[in-house]
Amino acid sequence: MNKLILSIAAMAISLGALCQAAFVLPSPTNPNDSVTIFIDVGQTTGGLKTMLTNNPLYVDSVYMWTWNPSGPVCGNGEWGNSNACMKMDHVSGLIFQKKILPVDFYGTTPLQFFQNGISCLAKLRSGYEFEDAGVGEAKTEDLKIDIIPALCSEIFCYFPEAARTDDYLSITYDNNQEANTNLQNLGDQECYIYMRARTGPFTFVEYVDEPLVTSTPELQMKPVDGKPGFFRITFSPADFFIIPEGQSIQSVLFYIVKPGYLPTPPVFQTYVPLDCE
Amino acid sequence: MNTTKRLLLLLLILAAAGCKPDLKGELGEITDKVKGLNGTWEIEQFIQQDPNNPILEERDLSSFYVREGTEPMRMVISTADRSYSVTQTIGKRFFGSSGTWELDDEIAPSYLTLFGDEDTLRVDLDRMVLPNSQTMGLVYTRECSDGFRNVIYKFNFKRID
Repeated sequence: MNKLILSIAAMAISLGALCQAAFVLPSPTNPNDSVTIFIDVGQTTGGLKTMLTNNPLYVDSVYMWTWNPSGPVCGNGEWGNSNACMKMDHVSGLIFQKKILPVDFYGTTPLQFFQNGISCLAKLRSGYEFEDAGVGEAKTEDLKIDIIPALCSEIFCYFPEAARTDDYLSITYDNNQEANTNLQNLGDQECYIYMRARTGPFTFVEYVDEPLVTSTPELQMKPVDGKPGFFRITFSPADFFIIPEGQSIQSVLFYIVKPGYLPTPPVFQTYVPLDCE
Repeated sequence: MNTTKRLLLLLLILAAAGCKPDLKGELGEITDKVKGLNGTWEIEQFIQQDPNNPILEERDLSSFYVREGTEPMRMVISTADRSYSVTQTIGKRFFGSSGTWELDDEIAPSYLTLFGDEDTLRVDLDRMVLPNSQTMGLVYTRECSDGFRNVIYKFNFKRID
């Protein structure tokens, strides 16, 4: 029965996506995994639809132009000559796709990706192609794709996904995924977190010095009810760290420690809080 | 069904309607939602929700506001001068310490605006608060200037006075 409900839900999501001119799959989306951007030019209203219908050979000359969540790391190129890295693959009919790894392709944080979504359009390599055709530029209208974040399944998860420094933020650690053998199979009372806030390129504020972490109760992560091997800490960064006047928290860096063991060198994890007014 | 039977049925219906007593008395005043807010409210539950989570996950963070041996956050709302004050020793001070308030619509309110000493907040009412209501739910949605909602906090209070 559950499988049937899940199948119907998956089908509904897919059909919903297919009704849009632009969408991403999979959705919900993990910004650290590859996703495919689809543009169905047949559902758009710009000049490109007419141009491709009248000149089917141009289906191999369709490029993506994007500006949100930021410009692409490899660059869009010039309007008259798109960069090769922005070429889209022809799927069928007037549907085109581009596979990307969001955080690498856009050079943004997952938060910026979720917050801004994707703004893009499809165009011919030269946006000035068929200028005399009387249907406008060789492009679609501007397209907006909202991103639905996937449920986190990584070793560290954050709740809420987009927290400001003065929000309550929960960090959940899945010890079952721990690769460091010295930290595997932690007991209920053994999980501690070293944390420091970055306030500038080379300035940090620690909660306590590293050797004091396992004797500081506030830094002990608590087992999560009903989820063996999961530990969690909830805090408000702005209240947690004593930040000097005139400075602000740019990111929170942390790693896991246990009594009698400090990783050397530590592998820092970074949480970048949402910056908004 | 022949015509006679139909006529009889119609007469029966008319007779039954004729037995219905006339409405008497007044409907009374519309329940006062402004007076409903008046009183002292003590926090019972504090929930955090992530509006960007696919399943809109909620987590109970009441322990930040309700702790044994500590007086929980209290909010005193006065309808006389439309003021409010908050006392709390634990938990984040989202509502500041005092200020004035107004409802968006006094007949059918959906949100409350708190003009605090530090900030102005809009908090949604999760249900109507009537003079005999014993609970009040305030929902604070944090939003960036571009409309991006990053978190929702739900405060559930009980009336203590």
